[in-house]
Amino acid sequence: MEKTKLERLLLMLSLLIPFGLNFTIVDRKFYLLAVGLGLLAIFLESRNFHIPRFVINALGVVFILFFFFTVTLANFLDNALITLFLLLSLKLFEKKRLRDYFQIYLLEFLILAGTSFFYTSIWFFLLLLLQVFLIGISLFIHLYMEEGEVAYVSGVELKSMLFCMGTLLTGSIILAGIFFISLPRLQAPLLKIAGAESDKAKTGFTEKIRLGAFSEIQESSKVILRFNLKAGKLPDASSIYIRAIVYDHFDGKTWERKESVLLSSRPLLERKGQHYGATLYLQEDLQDYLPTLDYTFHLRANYPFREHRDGVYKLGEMVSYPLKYEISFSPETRLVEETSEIGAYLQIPDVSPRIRKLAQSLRGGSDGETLNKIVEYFHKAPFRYSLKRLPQGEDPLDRFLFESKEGNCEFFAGATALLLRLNGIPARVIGGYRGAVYHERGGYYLVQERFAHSWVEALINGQWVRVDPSPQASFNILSKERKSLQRLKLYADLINFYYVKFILDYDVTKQKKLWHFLGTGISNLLGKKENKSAIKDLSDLKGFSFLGVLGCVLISVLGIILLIKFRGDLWDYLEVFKKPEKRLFRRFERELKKRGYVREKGAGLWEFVESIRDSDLKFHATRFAQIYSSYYYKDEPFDKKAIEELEKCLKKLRELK
Amino acid sequence: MKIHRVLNTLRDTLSGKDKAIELSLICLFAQGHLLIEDLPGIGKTTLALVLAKTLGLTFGRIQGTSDLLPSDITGSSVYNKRTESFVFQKGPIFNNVVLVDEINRMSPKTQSALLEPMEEGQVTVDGVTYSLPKPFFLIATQNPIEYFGTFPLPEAQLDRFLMKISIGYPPRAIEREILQRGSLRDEKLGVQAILTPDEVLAIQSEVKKVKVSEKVLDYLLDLVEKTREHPYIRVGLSSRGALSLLAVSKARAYLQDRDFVIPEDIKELSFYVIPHRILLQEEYVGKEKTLLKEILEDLKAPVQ
Repeated sequence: MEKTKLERLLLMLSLLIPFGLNFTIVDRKFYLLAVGLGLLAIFLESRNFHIPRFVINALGVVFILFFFFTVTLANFLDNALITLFLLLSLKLFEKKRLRDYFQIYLLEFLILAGTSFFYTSIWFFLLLLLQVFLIGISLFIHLYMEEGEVAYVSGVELKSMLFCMGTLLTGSIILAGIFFISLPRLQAPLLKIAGAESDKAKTGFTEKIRLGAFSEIQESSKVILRFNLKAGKLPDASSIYIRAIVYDHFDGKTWERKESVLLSSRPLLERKGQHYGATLYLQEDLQDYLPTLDYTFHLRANYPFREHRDGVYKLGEMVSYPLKYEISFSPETRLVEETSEIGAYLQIPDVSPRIRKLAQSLRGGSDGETLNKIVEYFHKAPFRYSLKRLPQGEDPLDRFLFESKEGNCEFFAGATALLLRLNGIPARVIGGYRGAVYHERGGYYLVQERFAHSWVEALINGQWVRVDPSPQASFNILSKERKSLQRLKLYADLINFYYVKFILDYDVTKQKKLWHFLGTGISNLLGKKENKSAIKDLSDLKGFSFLGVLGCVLISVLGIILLIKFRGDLWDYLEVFKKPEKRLFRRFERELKKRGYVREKGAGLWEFVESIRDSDLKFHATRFAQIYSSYYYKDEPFDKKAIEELEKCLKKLRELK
Repeated sequence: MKIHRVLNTLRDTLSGKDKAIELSLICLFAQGHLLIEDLPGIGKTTLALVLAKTLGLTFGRIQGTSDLLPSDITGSSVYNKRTESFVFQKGPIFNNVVLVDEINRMSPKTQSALLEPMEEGQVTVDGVTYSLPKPFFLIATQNPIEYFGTFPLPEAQLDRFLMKISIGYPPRAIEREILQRGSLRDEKLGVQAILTPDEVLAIQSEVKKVKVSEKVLDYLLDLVEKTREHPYIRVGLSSRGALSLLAVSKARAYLQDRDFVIPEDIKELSFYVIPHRILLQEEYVGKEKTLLKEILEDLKAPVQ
């Protein structure tokens, strides 16, 4: 392939991932500007039109100044990304020399480094790896063409370069794996960049329920939480309630949490039914709330957190996501209230008279009866569950109750809690998720963003009773997706889960255990059967994390063996970085080797060429030998003319069938 | 180039002796002397004669016998009655190309009389030193089979021959031609001279200018070292031997129109320069070429 063509192709390939990944992250206006500029630059490049360097540099300075004047601690990362993108697009306009390509690749890496704060899944990691490969290979090819002043790269050369770089990069990744396993570990992240947790206005979890703020909500199938049980299986995973936040204050439009009324005391529980232990992996930051399975009576984590009386858990300090923590819970347990400080749960805002009238009409003989009547009221037609055409306007709740009668769970829960309070029953709205998908193959449960739900708890006879006023239709979303697609997604999630689990699980203790296990394992193998703790440790390191470590070790060993085995070849390819005549000579030998002629160690060049039987081949090979030796055996440096001549010979050699 | 005409003429005239022709020329241009070890009747004399003729050189011949005296070679002073003084009568050595047939049949005394002309290009008789014509090229032959009544050349004498070659039997087709037409020596001797002695001298000085790169020099030194270290070799190559090898390599490069020496030059010519200069352990005597071949195959040629 021609040099310029190849360079353009490599450049465009390398742009794909950084631009693609930032589609949802960077401010849309600037993103489109950068993409537009980039496309224009590529178009102009194809016409061989370039903007002079000083113009580019001046514009670059302007962009950087713009960055310095607009940056705050909160938007640091966003702004940095925007600036990097604009600089990258600008750079594309230049006439590109080797160092310009280097600069472009550097910018791409910086962008990806910034992007890494927004993604925690394995897919990002894989894309990052892909980009590393791509840029690594591109750099190699650029260097190759530049160093050897090559104007044309053949498929064979390209292949050998890919092989070489592939081996090198795979080797370094294997090394990185070894470092990951063996280097000392930190408990907390080293730094947390401000602005990384940008406010994603999406469905699912919100810190406040703003009724009427949106007319339509879109579903997102992003995985929020995964958990696996220490033992056993939940009888009905789709009806599990995952509590994240409790809203206790309603101002007529917004349900929110007023923590001031909740002293940081432990929740009181009446333990009943079967207990479960679970390990949770929280993928996304839910404004520092730690979702738990109803009802959790114990939470363990190796970072500080707070527990509230209403069963809500919140992080004590900033940590990096994904998070891992363990809980003990029992679905049949109930939260109880012994204190009389329940006034906050009876707070009522100004509401329209017809709501008060409705509340009165639903009053029953006892609190329990009232509760039933209210829930039944919502479960009956004409109330319908919908994520579209949500009530809006001055008083959306009023509108929902008397006009549209169509809404999402927030409307149902919000209205129910209000009606309960109007009837003097303490009530609160719980925000979280309902239901989880059990991953058969992975043996874990996963909770997606679209399972986000809100429901109500009413205090009746000193016990918080859960009621879910949302119509049943809201739970059918689970089966809405096509089966095959869902299965595919589950498989993808499995890989992601293990990745997260392995990376998170692998901490200091695991590390120690692994080394201990390896140590005792080896000494057992050697015949010193001194202790059996190794087997115990093995059971601690159960599952994937152990297999993963073992796999990594095996792969590393394999990699090292391969490296040793092919080091000659590798060295050959590294010759590329040496003098051009050496490189050409290697190519010459390779070319002849392909045709079955291998020079023996003791044989000279002329002798070798003389041994060729094919006359055409011999002709060109002899010509090569003549030029080469006339410089080499006279201790004369190979000048440009010589290299060109040699290249011409090689090209002719290559063209021979 | 004239040298190619020389080569072609020689090849045409002496069909089937390409290798011997090339080696002889190399030896001549490298200002050395040639020892041909071969059976009688192979065409040694013809080779020497035609070579001399083609290069426009004078030719002298000495037949080695046990009773040959040094003065038979160098010549002697003869009393001239008329002038009443001794006049030096030049012997056959005073020629450009001198063929010494069956050198090992000469007595050691006579053999050593050849040392001075070979080494210095001069002859001293009765205290007077006479310069030999330039160029001076001595071709000695010896029979490898018959040892009865011979005086094998001492090492010192052998070392003075730049190369030791053998001609070998001609190929069957050429032998058939010889049989059909009979010996064509007379016809062959009618060959025209292509060069003049001055031109030959010019070529000799040209050959000295051929470039030897550091890498090739290292290669040569490696080879010399190998012969000295080899467990089967009692006495390795001398410095004069190394110098000789370098000289003939340059000549070969010149003959092949190169102004630089390549490893192949050294490799090929070492078979004619080294074997008669090294001494093997007794049990391996006679295996010089095989041994050398092994050493060369194992020695990395400088190519990149």
